[in-house]
Amino acid sequence: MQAYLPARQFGATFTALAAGRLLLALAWPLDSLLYDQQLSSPLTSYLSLQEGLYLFSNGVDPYDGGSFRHSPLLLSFFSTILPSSRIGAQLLWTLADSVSALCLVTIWRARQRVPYSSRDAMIASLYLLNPYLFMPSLALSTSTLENTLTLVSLALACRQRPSQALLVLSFLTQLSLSSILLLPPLLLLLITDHLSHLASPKSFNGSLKRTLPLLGEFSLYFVSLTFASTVSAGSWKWMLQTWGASLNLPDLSPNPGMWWYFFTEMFDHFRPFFLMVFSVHLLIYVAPICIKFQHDPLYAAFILLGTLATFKPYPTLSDPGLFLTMVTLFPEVYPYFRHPIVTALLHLHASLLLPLFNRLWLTQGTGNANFFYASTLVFACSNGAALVDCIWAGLRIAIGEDKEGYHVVQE
Amino acid sequence: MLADDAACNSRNKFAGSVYANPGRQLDLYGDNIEVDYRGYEVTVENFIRVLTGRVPPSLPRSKRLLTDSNSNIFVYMTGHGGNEFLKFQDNEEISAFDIADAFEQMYQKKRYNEIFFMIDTCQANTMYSKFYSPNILATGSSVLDESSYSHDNDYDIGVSVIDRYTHYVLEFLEGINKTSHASMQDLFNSYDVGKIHSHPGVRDDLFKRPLDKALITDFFGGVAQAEVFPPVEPQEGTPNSGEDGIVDVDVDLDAGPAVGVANETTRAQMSSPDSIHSWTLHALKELRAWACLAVVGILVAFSWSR
Amino acid sequence: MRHWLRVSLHLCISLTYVLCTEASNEHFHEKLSLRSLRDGKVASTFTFTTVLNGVEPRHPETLGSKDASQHYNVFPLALGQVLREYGVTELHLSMNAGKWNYEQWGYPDELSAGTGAELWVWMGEGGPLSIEQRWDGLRNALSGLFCASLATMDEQRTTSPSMTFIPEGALPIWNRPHLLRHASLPSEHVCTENLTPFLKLLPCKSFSGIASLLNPHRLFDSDWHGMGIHVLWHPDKGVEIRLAFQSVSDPLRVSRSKRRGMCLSLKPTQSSSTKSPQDWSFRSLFNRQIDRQCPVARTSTIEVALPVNEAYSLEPSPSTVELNVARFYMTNESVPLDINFRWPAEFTYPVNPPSQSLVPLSVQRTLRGSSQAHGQVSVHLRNHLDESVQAMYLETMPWLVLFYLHTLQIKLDDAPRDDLISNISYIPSILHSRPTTLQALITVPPKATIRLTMDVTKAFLRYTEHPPDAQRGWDLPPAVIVPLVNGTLRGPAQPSLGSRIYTPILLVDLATPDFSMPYNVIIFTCTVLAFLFGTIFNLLTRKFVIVRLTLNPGCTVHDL
Repeated sequence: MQAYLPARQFGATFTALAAGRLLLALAWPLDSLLYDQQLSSPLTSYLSLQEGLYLFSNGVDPYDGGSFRHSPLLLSFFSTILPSSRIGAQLLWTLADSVSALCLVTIWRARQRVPYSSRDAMIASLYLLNPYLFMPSLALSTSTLENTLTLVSLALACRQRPSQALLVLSFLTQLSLSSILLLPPLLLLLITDHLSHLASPKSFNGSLKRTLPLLGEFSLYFVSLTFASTVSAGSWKWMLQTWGASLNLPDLSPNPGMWWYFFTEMFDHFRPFFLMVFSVHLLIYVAPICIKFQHDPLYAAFILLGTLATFKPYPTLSDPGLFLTMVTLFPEVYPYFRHPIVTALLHLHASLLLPLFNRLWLTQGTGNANFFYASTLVFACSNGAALVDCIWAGLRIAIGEDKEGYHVVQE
Repeated sequence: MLADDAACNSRNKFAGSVYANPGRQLDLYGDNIEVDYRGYEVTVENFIRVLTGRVPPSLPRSKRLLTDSNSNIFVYMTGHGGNEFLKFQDNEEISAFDIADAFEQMYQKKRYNEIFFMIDTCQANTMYSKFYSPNILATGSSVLDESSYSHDNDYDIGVSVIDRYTHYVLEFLEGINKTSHASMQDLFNSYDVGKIHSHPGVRDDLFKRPLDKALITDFFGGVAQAEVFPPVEPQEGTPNSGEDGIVDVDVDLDAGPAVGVANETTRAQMSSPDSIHSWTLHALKELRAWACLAVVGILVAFSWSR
Repeated sequence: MRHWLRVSLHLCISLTYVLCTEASNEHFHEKLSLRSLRDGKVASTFTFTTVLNGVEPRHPETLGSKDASQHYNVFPLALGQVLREYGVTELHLSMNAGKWNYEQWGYPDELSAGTGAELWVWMGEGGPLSIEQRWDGLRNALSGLFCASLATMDEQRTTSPSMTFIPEGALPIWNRPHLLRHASLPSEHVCTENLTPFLKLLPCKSFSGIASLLNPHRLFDSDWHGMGIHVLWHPDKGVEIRLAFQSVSDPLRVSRSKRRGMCLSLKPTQSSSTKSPQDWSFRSLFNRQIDRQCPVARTSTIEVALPVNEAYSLEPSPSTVELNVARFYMTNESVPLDINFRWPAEFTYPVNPPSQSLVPLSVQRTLRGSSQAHGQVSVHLRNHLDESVQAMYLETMPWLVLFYLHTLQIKLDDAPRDDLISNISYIPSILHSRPTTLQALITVPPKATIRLTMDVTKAFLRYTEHPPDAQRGWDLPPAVIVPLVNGTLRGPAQPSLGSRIYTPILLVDLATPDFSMPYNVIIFTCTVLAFLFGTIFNLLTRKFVIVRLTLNPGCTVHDL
């Protein structure tokens, strides 16, 4: 009986939270959340999804200009089997969130090699109650679906289902091109294991050749999905509108990221160069992190999610939300955080200022763009602080506990 | 180049007129004016392009400066300015170095014979301090750290209609006609600091001729000097030798009354669901969506089986 | 003796002119129509038509080769050269200022009444140059010819709404079709510098004939004024250039200021005391009179619309009066001519809004919402007739304002009525490039007001895309409503034209970045990026060392 208590506790908590969430979403449909620029970006906005579906159903090519930047896969899914009405969408989003929470718990259980644990309920509730995650979900931003796919992919990898993990990741990359960063740690995860080796790192002694068939399988899935997208969209224009948006930044709507104001104030002469710099900057984190955390690829994936959250072209609040919630999977590094309170306060600071300054600038007209830009800088600092602290802790844990009279530093 | 529309502004009580004095005796806008660059087209880039002739091929002739090595050019600039700059359009400024370099380019390309540069802004004399090309005569309304002032208010219009320096220069020039022999020195002698309330300056070190020999009509008045060349033999065989011919057109008397009005092929039509054509389009679209779904399903099944 | 020599010389020259134009295939006609509007204002329309008989528009296939030299007597050479250079079949350029009050004033004589500049052309496809290149060249040439900023009507303002802007004349049948290019600049000002080249296109300029009444100081002071250049082709007539200038003047405003004794550049009128301030004459409207007749004009006609039920007095007496229109045919004897129109009884303004609107549909368009990120376009259409009216609704919105077409709603008295809108044709906009074109067929029930709303999102522009006065906002072009007659849009073969109604322009307030901050922003963002990158780089590349902390001041470092 004792062994089932955590399971029952988890089941009860989880159901209660999911039901409560659904009730909140259905009873309190705030239309203003749909327009909020922190919760949805031009790539993930529910309104532009509706617009694309409407144009598609009326015979206009949704990728011939306009504001529709979602993948054609979403176009075909939502115009056939998934509901796109407001109530149906709330149900779907709550379901997605629940699946994400379950996957998070699955990853945790796989990492601890137990079927149930006492922390399950806490992990699930931290996901479902994190305001960075449930506000975008209430706003019906498709970044929630992206989070679900990320967590499903990682969970499948932890459960030793390589094909399905790769398929889900390729689906995720179709929706959000920058998630391709997660491919190397996922491949490493598939050929090693998901267990926690942070405290006792061993250098990677497996054969990288084993990733080649996995890479081939991923490419196959990716190409097939690209083909399916082209069939759905009817032409090749969708690539420029969806993936091209991450690379060209045509839409300069404000969001919590660092790209939009930079490229608003950029002179035309330097625009292509800096677009290239910012995109390559995202890529250069992959190899070092994967090499440094080769003993624990799940942690590497976690860190790369953090870099995506900070440096992505069109982030929303759900990207750092996922990163912060995933910290619960790695309780072994908690004692080694150097400045958790600073990070938390910075996040509190930024999360309060972002919507306030956005409203002051755009709705009330009493502030200007610099206010909101400053709050995005604070937000970037808070994400960066969390990222840096997690990297430090992940490396520091390998050294061991602090002894009296000695101090561990880097040189 | 007029950046603002003052004459036909809805707040101008006297439409189509820009007066030179509060008593409204002289209308500078007149009935026959042509403005080549106006509104947002007045930018530093366009100004320098016009001067140097680096213009795109599509620019019409009326917007180009069609001068050669025999042309005398009068450049007049007014507005808000300061130490070696003049403000364009609220977000730009042109510096004295820019104008000096533009004039040097004009000299290299032989686009002028002589330039008379007049500027009426605050600290205007600093704008011509950086010229280094020959044959430029420059004058400005005020020295460094000195403001230029506007003339009296017109209480019907509600603003001052002209600046002091420009007003007194105009007063002098209104007394000149095409046959006058007044020289530049006379113009500069007419400067009265007590009336202008600032110290106008002149820069003549780059100007080769003595100022009392340089006539005002060299720059104003359009007095042409004719040079007589020996006659040139007419060439044979040129198709359009300047003889005017009747226009050569094909008159198609058999053209029917109907016309070919094209519909753009890229226009998307949202048609009513009644026609068969639209039904097939609709079905095709549904088919595409389901086909995409089917491919994804196949992939899921494939990955499940492995 | 000298005087007689001069007069006979003048007569010889005019005779030669007249003979030349009689013999050639060019005709020039000028006309002035004046009518008193319901609210006491006076609408005047100057129309100058030059017809070039037996001439066809230039075929685009011939654009690569050198054109035959053009020789015209009265046809304007500058415009003719531009038309032939780019192979233009039909051209309409209008530059208007003010708001045309359709309910009180009815339809204008020239239909293009949208504020600002509007240019639409029909050009045949084919030849060495593409339509886009010819459109670009045409805009530049016209901007130089008319001293207007027409060159800025680039791809960001160009659309092709061929269902609404059907050709007024005929299009020659060539093997490639004709395409429409339409662009509008709602913020363009009209002033004397636009009138000057307009007058230069006339054979008599502004020295003689009806064109001598065009006084810029009065025309640009009127409540509404618009200038139009229309080039058409008729298979039986040839190429026709119609230059039109319309204005709506307010005699009340002029007479009131006269009575207050303010110093305007007016000469005293020669008429007797004006009892009613709505009396008008050429002197009071234009401050000029016609002193000379234009000798090359085939016909010079002045038409005055006469009131039906009120007493009036018209001096001098007209040549003919038929169907409430008084016509004056100008000859050498009728000059100098100053027409005086008087209301002997006191003019009564319509106190209550009249039940009969002069147009079947009244349109009102607004942009709602207080946020600079999104808003709502709201259009009210009111049908004054007893039968339902179908109208074509055209919206050409620049990419600054993005439509959410799925939020388009039609409401009749707050009840949604989706059956009232059909045949929606939509070309979405491309950011930084193409405008939106939305055309729809709307049915308005009799005596009803329907409300069309659509959510829009406002774009965020790059630093370099903002105009110098960025805080003013952007002007949005007018929407065009074309009420259909008998359920069909008037086809090009029919003699009368589709009567377009233009809504007023809108002003959209877009969010601006801080213009003083480009370097600061770049530096701040790059600093944060570099700082984070550097910290992570350090963490990943440095070795860990364990340092023994001793109490002595000189610490020793030991590697483990």
